[in-house]
Amino acid sequence: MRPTHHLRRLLAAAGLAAAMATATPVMAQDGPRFGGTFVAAIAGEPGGLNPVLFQGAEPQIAAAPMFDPLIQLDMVGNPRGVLAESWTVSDDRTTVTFTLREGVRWHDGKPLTSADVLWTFMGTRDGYMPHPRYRSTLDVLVDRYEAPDPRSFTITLKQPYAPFLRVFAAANYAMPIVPKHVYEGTDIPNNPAHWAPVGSGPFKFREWVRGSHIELVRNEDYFIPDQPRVDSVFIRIMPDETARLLALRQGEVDYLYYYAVAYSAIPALQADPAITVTSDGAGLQGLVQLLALNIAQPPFDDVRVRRALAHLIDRELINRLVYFGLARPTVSNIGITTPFWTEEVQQRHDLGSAEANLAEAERLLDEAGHVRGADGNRFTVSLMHMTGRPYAGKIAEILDESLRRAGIRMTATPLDRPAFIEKTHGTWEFTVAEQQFSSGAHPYVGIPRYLLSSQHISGTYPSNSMGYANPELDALFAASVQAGSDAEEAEIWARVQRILSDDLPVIPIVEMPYTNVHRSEWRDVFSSVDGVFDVTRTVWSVNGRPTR
Amino acid sequence: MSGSSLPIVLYVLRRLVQAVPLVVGIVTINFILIRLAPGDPATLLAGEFADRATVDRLREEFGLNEPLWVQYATYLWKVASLDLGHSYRFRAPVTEIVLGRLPNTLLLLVVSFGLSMVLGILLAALSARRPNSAFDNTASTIAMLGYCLPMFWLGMMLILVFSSLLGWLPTGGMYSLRGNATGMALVADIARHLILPATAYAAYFMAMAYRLTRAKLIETLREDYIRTARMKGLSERRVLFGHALRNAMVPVIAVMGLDFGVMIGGAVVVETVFSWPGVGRLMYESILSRDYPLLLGIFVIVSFGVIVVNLLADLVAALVDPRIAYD
Repeated sequence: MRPTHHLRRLLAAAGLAAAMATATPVMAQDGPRFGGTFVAAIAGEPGGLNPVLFQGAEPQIAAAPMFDPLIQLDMVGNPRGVLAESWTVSDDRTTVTFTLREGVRWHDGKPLTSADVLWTFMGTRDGYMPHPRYRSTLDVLVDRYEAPDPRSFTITLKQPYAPFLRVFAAANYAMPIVPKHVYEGTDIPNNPAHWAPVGSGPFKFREWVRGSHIELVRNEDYFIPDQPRVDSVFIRIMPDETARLLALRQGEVDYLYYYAVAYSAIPALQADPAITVTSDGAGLQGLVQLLALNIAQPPFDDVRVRRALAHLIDRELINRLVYFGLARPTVSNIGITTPFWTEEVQQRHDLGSAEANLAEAERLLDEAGHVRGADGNRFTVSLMHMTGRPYAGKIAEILDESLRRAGIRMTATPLDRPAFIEKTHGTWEFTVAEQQFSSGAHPYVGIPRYLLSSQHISGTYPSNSMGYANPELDALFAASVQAGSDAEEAEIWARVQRILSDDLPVIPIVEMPYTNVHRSEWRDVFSSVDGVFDVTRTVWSVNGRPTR
Repeated sequence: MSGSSLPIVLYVLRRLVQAVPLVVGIVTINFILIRLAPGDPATLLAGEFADRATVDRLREEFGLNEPLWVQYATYLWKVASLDLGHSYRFRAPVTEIVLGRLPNTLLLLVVSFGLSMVLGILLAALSARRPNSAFDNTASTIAMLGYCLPMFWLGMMLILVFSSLLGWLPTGGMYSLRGNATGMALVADIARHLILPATAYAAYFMAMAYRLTRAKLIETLREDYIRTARMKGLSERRVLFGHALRNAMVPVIAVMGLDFGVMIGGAVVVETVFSWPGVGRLMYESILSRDYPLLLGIFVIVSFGVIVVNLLADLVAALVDPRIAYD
């Protein structure tokens, strides 16, 4: 693969991560060592361990060691075979043919064939076992799936789509293959294999002690030589943030993914040589914190009010006070590691000084008819946010200070996750909501799902809760999958970002910090550029044995 | 059945029958309360990016499209048939899930309760012998602290001191994951993990037991029959533990029995802070996932437990004080 601009950014991000990581005294090592137990903590108990049906950080971390996709991304973002030994793309770029590795077996000893692969993909297509992310993004691009022989699997696209393989290999979209013989003909939603899975991955399921931990043991017959390196993996369920942190520092836990750790703790962790803080494995997250504005109702149905708000937001201040300076202030909906990210095309609402921004905001608000009342206030808005994370809702406190000067008051409405989803995506009873959207491996899979006019669907989360509808934007999204070249596609995404910064259905604030932490004795924790939730394949300890 | 045990049996039966409308009331109130809270379990269970059809299918499967009164009647009928339904999230019978976690919570409760009663009563007895002495003042101050300190804060402080600073005890959980302890080693391992959560839990209840017992004992020690006992030449220990304490215990037992419900509330906090895999945490997680059957099932089982514990408290009180009649 030719090094691209995107790749260079990734490598730069990796360099930044290396600088961020605490310097630790490292024992001289010739290479991977073997044995030991790796403990990763998760914040909540997964609903199940079927990797297709149960999505999110917790089930993914717990289930990923037991299953394999056809391909995944390596540490620099190139597709790498896992179950697939090789793959070819037809000359017309519409058909991808995967050749499976020979002799791969499920943990129960049955052979893994292309029939399993086909059955898994058809589960999403026919709805008997849908992978929600894949279904809403890649499946719609596919014409048909076929398994012409036990080792071959083909995907035929409706039309050529250049980024297909790259997105197909990304962690959030890569389909983990599940055993047909375990699921076919059963009551799938209630199949016991969801809670005691049979996979093909580097670890086998051993035990799930409800509320406490999930224990996995090494698959001695795993098809990749010398993997996995550790003998067992525990996924420990720890709902309390402080308790997780203390357990990590005590060595009872080895790994915490980035949003399981409070940002306030990061400086102390960076100073601890026993702990490594890194953004490795969090490439392609593109997680942007933004304000979603309900543009179906006053006051944000008027673009002038949305723009006034944009003029009054001090991203640097928010980053410093809410994210301890770890985040990256941004005006883009697309994360820096996602292709076609740019911050050069957006309409800038920062006029260079607080006074100029205030004057422009006041002018826009007056023009929109929101004049100051006797008490000097124009209106009050409430920022709805999810509880559970220490930074949640803090933006409201800072914005209230900034907005007050222009006669707008902002209060915070904290809600637990179910209530937040219901209010913002069910009944749309909100004015401003604090939300995070991931642009992921490619803007096509990250952006349209919450900005397409057709995605204004009650009860679907995440979706276009703002009620935003711009036919030009819809057309650009459709055109992006038909672009004939990178340059043409880049032009489309630049135009998208320009329109969004004009219309402001959402206002990007910061790209979130990716502060994964692990005990420093562990090496090769990540085997993929976006492997933040799949951390056991290659991990090894400097305290391990030189041979198995 | 002997004649003397018949009144007890009738009393227990009567109380259990009286518990039925109470449990129905609890189910009704909780059924209404959790339905009033915004949040759709089907949307949550379908997960992010799920399409409308998936959400609708789940709503249909869970019966959430039925009118609320139909859902309520169906649930009551199921409870009457001793079926607490299936958890939306875990896709397993509620009874199985709750009973799987209940022993862990009971272990925590029994140890904490035992610890708080023994220590609280013992300290109270020693304090009541010489009110306003240095010992009494110290014990009262400690009890006041135990009463005032929030459980989650105390839990955190215990972890900071005994796990992080001194490294003596694990930060949380119920087992050491890196060991393969079995038999007595496993019991010892669980006991090590139990010390901090049980201490955090016991502090408040120990303070309660201490304050109640001390107050009642000081009052009792001024009674005529205590003076008589002393005049008869009984040792101070015999007077205190054989006569005064027994009489002082009746209100303590009654209040501590009532506080069992408070203890269950405390379980939510302690089990979350210490990652203890019990029913309290399960309750908290059920609220966050709007797992109505699991949440209601926990309420039914826990409220039944509170009723039984209160009944036991009454029986013990009657045992301690024969003047209490079963009527």
